[in-house]
Amino acid sequence: MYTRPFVGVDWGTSSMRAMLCTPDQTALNRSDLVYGLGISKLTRPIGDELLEKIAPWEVRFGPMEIVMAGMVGSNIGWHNTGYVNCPAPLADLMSYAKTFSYHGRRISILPGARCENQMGEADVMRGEELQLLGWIANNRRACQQDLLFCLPGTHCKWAIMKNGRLETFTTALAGELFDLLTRHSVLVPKYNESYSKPFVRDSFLRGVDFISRHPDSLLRALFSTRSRSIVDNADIGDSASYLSGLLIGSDINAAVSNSMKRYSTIEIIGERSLCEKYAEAMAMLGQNCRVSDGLDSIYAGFMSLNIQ
Amino acid sequence: MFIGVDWGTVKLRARLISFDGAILDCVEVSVRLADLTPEDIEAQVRKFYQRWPAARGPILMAGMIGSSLGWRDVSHLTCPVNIEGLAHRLSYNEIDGNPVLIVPGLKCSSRFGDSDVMRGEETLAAGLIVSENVGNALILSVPGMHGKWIEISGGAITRFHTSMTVELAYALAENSFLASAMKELPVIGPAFFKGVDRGFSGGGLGRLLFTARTGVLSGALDARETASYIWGILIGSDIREIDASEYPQLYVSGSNDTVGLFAAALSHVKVRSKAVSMDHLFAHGFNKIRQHLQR
Repeated sequence: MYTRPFVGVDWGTSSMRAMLCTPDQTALNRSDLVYGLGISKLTRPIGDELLEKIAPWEVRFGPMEIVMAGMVGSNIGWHNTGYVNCPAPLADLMSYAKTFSYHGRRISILPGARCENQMGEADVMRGEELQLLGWIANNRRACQQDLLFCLPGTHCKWAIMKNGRLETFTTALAGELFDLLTRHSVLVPKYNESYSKPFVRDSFLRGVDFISRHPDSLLRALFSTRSRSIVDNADIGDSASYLSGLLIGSDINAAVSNSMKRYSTIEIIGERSLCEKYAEAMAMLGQNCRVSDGLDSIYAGFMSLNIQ
Repeated sequence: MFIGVDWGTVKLRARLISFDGAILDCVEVSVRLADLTPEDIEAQVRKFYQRWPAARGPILMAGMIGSSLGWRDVSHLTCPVNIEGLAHRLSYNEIDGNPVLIVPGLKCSSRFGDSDVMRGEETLAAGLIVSENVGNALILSVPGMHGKWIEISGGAITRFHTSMTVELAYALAENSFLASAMKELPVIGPAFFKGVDRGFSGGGLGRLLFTARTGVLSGALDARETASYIWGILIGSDIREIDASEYPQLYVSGSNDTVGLFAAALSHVKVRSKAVSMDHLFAHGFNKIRQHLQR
């Protein structure tokens, strides 16, 4: 068992999160967390960025061991680490890591995961496998069962696990469609403050309701964001929230209807406020679910790696 | 002969039309309606009189010119509406003493149970009813960003719905993670039809769209085919969203490129369709409405 503190870094395309992993600390201490730019936004060498971000910890502990996950291991990252094939027992993820030395520090980058998804297509993930590993570490008793996970985000991952093994997963364009349509379409008016309005739950649930009544009609449903604002202009609430309801409702409907079996509870992992939206929509659709914090899962994932 | 103008948000098409519906001359002007003052609009209309001094009777106009973005805000009529119904509810205006009539847009409760609106397509649909002599038909109008599926029964426009298909395709091509792979224009071929099959089978649009990325990763799809594949998924999904078999005939009208893609996709999923010219439909629609005025 590794007994010294080390640094865990989840480095994605649009953001980076580095955390101090301390063996006697079972949960992430939020003061031991720093954020940085994603891979696609860096303007200087990745190693320079990394060492500057972790410098305060190295003042305390000296040069540190660093373990990384996410797009940093892809062909747009630092070192291409490849993928583990599903079904994949995540417990031995570390043995597939690419390890190298950088200015006297040992750095390991974890592989991503690859599978054939529910539509018979090849599918890939990077970073989410670590959250799943962490979730299992935090929920040892639950992992005997078949579990369906939802990891919402720009590209939402729907993963199936059995006995701690990642069986398969499917990616859906979710958050990205929302960003695309709020910024680059006629659906959400830009000229009034509704663009920056806070989330309106009632409008959101109306979107979920519409798409759940017409689950395979998203192209038409999307336009209803606009037509309802023209025709029923009284009491339409917030267009962006309605649109979010359509897209999240569509994502959930597709995941549930494509599943081979019915899952009594869907496990949602990720950023809290986004997870809560998925949870609201699932509640409306009569689907039980549970939300786990993404950062806590990442921390637990790093802590459960077998670092020698 | 008379003047008929369909005037949308980004361009207008004005036509000199004979009293039997033939187009004698046509001009297109690209101009953002929202940027024009009422004086600008009236000046534009005077240019039509100058170009076509032989035109007789009122000018007929349709489209967003009759909205709050345009010149006069004309209330939508509620479906079902037939040609006579349109002709009886024209908005009467004058420029320099000459009558300028605006065809009202329509609103309806769509097949999805919510409300929808359109302006301009009612005149196009009227043209179809007259020129193709149809009582029951479906017409897809895809002139630009938003396609309208318009249902015609018993010679009246009964309902319609708008779809985001084309605008979403452009948004994905210009601003999404697929943008760099979507620089090529879509072509009708195996990748397009593969997308059509995917979309037409349903199963969640968000996950279908992501297969453009995973297909390239697994080698099933050439990255340069991404645009064709994505257009195929979107058009296949759009066709799935309406049951075209309810109607004996489907007509498609709009910009040439988009009409070609829809026609190929429809034929691929065994739906018979006939392409019809927008100019032709507008001319006949305006002419029939004009004839009702004289009675």
